[in-house]
Amino acid sequence: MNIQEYIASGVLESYVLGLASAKEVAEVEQLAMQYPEIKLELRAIEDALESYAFANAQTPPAHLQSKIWEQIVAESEEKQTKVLDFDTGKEIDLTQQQAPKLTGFFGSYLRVAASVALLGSLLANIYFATQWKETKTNLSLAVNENIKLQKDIKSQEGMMQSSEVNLLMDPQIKMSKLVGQKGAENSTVMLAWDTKTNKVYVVRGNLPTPPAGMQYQLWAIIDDKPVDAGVFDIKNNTQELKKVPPAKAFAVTLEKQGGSPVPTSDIMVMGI
Amino acid sequence: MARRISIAEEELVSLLKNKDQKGFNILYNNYSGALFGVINKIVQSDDDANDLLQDTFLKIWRNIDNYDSSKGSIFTWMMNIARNLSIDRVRSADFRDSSQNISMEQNIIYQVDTEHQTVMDVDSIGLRKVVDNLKPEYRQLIELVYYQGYTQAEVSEEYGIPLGTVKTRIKAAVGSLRAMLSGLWLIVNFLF
Repeated sequence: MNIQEYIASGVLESYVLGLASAKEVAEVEQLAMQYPEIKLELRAIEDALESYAFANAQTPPAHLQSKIWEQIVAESEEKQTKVLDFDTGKEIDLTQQQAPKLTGFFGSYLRVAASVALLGSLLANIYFATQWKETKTNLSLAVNENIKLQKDIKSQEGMMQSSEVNLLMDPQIKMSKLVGQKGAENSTVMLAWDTKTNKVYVVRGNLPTPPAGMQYQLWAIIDDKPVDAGVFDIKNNTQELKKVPPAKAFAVTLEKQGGSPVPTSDIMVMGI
Repeated sequence: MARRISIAEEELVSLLKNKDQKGFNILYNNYSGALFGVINKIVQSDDDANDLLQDTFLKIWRNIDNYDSSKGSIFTWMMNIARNLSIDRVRSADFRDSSQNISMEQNIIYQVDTEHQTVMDVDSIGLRKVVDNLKPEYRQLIELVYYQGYTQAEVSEEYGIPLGTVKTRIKAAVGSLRAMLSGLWLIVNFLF
């Protein structure tokens, strides 16, 4: 198929103008999907004719816009309230409709039955409404709890991140990494030591969970002697420990809860 | 008419499919003038044109789910609705009774807008000046097929040209329009 010849034939103009035969319409639609040039050409023809229509545009009376919108609204409301008779398929006018009169024994029996059914239905309504209300209360409690938890998490994260970042950004802070010693090769601890205030921080403690009643203790090695630098918890990040003078090295041991005056176990991690 | 609101066609169609009033307002703002112009050319009566514009928008609103963007632009689709409703009205019996013996061709050729109560859209002045340069026979041809819904056979009869030539003649008319419009965009870009 020669696309340029097809475009030159004028069939695309006929298509846009609604002059094309059914066969031509099918053909144009098929080819437009296949060849982008044809699609582009169709669009260009449409745009030109659209511009022609816009060149001859006339302003309709101002009130028409709201009038048409009212008509649209009225039509959609009519559609919603339209009730068709099941047998005849004709529309039932609900405003004119009257309930058929029930008479005789059967009628009164039906009325009693209807009253009983109505009463039952009312009781059921009350029961379900109460249940529903309770469920709703529980749900809103759960939702509130959830929101509160999320807020807590957010604020903790924020605090942690900001203190960590502050430490890392501070030029007077010296970072050191303590590495695992024999028996705890995979452990590491990141320390930060403030050269001005002498405060020492445990930034991250990657250590095994201590047994109950035990805690990790940091030691500053000063003059070849371990000086207590405080205990820390591996679950918390960036904990401020004690102030220690400039140390040659740092080490961590496992001690009883609250710490020990002198190290009593093997060194887990160590570094300078 | 307010300036056309810039909106992607797909976005407008999806607003309309969701029956969003914003969709209606944009649709009306952007297209009522062009559609009203088409309707007016066909029916030549203010009351009928108002009615038909209303019918057109109601039909667009109701049938938007039938619009298939792969088959053409939203305007082409709406234009067909406006045109078909208007042509049906013109051809209906009571319309013929009310508008005296003016032939359709006379309407098109001798129509003078100043005799008409409608207001030409101010935003379209620039475009209209360009389109006014179209050769009269091209303009007449476009109006016959695009506005009045003439078939190729009717055009052939009107012009006394062979049916096979109608297609190429229409192509020439549309091509001339396209050339002018592309010139227009150059001028508009140059001036503003």
